[in-house]
Amino acid sequence: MSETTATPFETFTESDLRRLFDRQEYVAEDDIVIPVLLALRLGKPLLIEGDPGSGKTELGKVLAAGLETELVRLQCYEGLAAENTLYEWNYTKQLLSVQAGERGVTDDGSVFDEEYLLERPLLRALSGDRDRPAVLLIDEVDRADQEFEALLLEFLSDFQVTVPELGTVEASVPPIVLLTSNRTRGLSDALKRRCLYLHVEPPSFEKEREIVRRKAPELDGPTAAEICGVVQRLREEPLLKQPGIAETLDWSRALLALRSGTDDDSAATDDGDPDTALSPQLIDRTLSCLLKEVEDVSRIDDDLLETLARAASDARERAEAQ
Amino acid sequence: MTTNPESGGLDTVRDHVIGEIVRFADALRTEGAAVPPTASSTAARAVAELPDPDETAVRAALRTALVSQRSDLDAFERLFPAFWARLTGDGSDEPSAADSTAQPFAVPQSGEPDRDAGGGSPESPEPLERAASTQSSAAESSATADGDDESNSERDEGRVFRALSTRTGRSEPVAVDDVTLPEADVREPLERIGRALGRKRSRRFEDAPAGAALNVRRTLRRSFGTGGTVLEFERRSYDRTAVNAVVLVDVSRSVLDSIDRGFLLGVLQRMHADWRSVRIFFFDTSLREVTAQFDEPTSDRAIAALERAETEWGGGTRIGDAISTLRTDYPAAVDRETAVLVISDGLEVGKLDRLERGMTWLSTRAASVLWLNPLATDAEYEPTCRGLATASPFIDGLFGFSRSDDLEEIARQLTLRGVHGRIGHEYTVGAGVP
Repeated sequence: MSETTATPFETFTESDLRRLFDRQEYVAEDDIVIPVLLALRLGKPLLIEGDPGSGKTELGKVLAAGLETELVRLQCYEGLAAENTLYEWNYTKQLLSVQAGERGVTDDGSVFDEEYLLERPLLRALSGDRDRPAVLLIDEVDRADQEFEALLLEFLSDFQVTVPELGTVEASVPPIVLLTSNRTRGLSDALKRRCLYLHVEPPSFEKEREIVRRKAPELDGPTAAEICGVVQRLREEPLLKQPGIAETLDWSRALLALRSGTDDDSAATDDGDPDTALSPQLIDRTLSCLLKEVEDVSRIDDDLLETLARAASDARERAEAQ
Repeated sequence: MTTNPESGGLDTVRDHVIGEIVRFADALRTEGAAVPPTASSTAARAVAELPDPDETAVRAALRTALVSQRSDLDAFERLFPAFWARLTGDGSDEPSAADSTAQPFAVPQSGEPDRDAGGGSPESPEPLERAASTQSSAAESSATADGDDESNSERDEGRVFRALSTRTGRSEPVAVDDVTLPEADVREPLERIGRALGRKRSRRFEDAPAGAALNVRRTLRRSFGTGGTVLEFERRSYDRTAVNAVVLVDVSRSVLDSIDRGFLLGVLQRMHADWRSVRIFFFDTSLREVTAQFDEPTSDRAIAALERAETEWGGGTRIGDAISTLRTDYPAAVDRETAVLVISDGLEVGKLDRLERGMTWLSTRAASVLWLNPLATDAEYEPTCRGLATASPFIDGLFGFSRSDDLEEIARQLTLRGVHGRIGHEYTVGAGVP
């Protein structure tokens, strides 16, 4: 990409971006705001790495929604080829058109026309009349083959696609490009060189509690703190698959669903303690929301359940003391 | 959106800031971080775009621009405080580049030369990069003279592989005199093993109903049956026979005593030469990559390269630690297209839970895990030693491995039953099961 790529975000400020995130209920600290701001202002793709469930894809969705522009998402997978990402010719339609022409039904000219072109995500992100750039989310780029990476290099360098029969399709407004990766394999240096880099760290306790508070507003503050206390403690264990923010939210919703099925009148015991506090038994029953590997589930024994319950209790006390 | 009056582009960044950024990038590279060549320029532009360049914002901006992989974050965090101190003059013994101003990012007055700059203009940081490199070298020399030679000594250590301790032997350098190359040709069985393990796209096409490419010839041929009308499109896709592999070679004393060293190194060299992509790691009490030494065209030159690199072998066996190091230091080495070959006798002297965690990670991460054991060539062999007993549930096949016949047997089984079939030393002909 040229160093002088024109970007419509030259005057976009940090406070604009923070307001955008706030409106979308997306909790972002400096370590996320600054990289995203720089990606917008410099017009460079942003490569986002982090564990599954850390909110990488969500960032693309939030940006598109906040900027009120189209989100074009390309989910990468093994074997993804240029045809699946750029364009394809509609063979069947072309064939029917040729046969119709032979029978004199129609008098069409070339079958290599836009009418027969099927746009795939990369072309879609470039084409169309837009006054605002589309957000192109190239999701889990590490799942695609290295050949696809080579294709991306050309695309990210020039933001244009050449259709031999039609000519070059160039973006009037270059898209905002976000690439996500779970680091299942290393990406090429050439790709990384074209991108800014953001590593999404597991959230701090405060940040996670804020996320839960916003995404599951029905939960009371101390319970949200309890949930985050347990998840934070669980992340200290050497698990094969650490619970991400997505799992925390799943668990929060699961607990909400469980509680909505119980009698609200019995929400407090005689001594005033809420009986909604996370007990080892309740944690055990609902752990499937957090752990996705059988080895991880088998690691949870009674001692660890007690530890998790204590972490929940500590977090509740801290929240109530604030 | 509002206008940001504070950001004015690259010319708002003082020359000395660019110089320090280049110096910081250079220091990161010295630490082994993969900093792209254009990163310094991007970093300077990023800093120029910051409306409020305080420490937090600059840290985030430079992380975004200079770092391109997670493993480099530690080095970044380690070096950033020194960079910031140099930039702002806080707590640094060195004369600060910005000591003339409390605002390190302030624009120099018109006509005032930026005396701290290394030269060049803000729009062309490349000359500065050279200047800063010189500056950096000078600083490093100075640091060495002051006795602060920790980083240099660490780098030197990195070139010489040393085992830390051993319970079954003491590490010694690989020596050409100790290794004799056998005559056996291992190329053909290794080719068959490679084809069976291959998960990566090769250069050949094969017919595939849901292939990505149109098979024009077959489509036309099929259309002859319907008078030239194409009813169905035939497709094709790339064959998947190319193999990516990671070979973890236990070079502990017990393994070296039970296998012909020349045969072992010959197999590794041939594997590296013929397969698509092979990374080779030696481990005893520590793990080190030796792939570069196997770039040599012949086995004897590869052995000589190992000797030149002062590669050591013959320590104790810590497989769990080795896998753990592989996971943390080479996170991209193993992916779902990678076959992992562990060459070891499994006589683990490290912690078993660490080995179990490592094997769990390997088995979920890699396409396949094969264990080649020089002791398993015995028909009576049973994997009851504590290391192999721990690792066995996570491997796809355990094979004997000490001569070319063993490779023939591995190739036969893999070709016959596939990598996830009923394979292993217990199915070897002559071991009771055909």
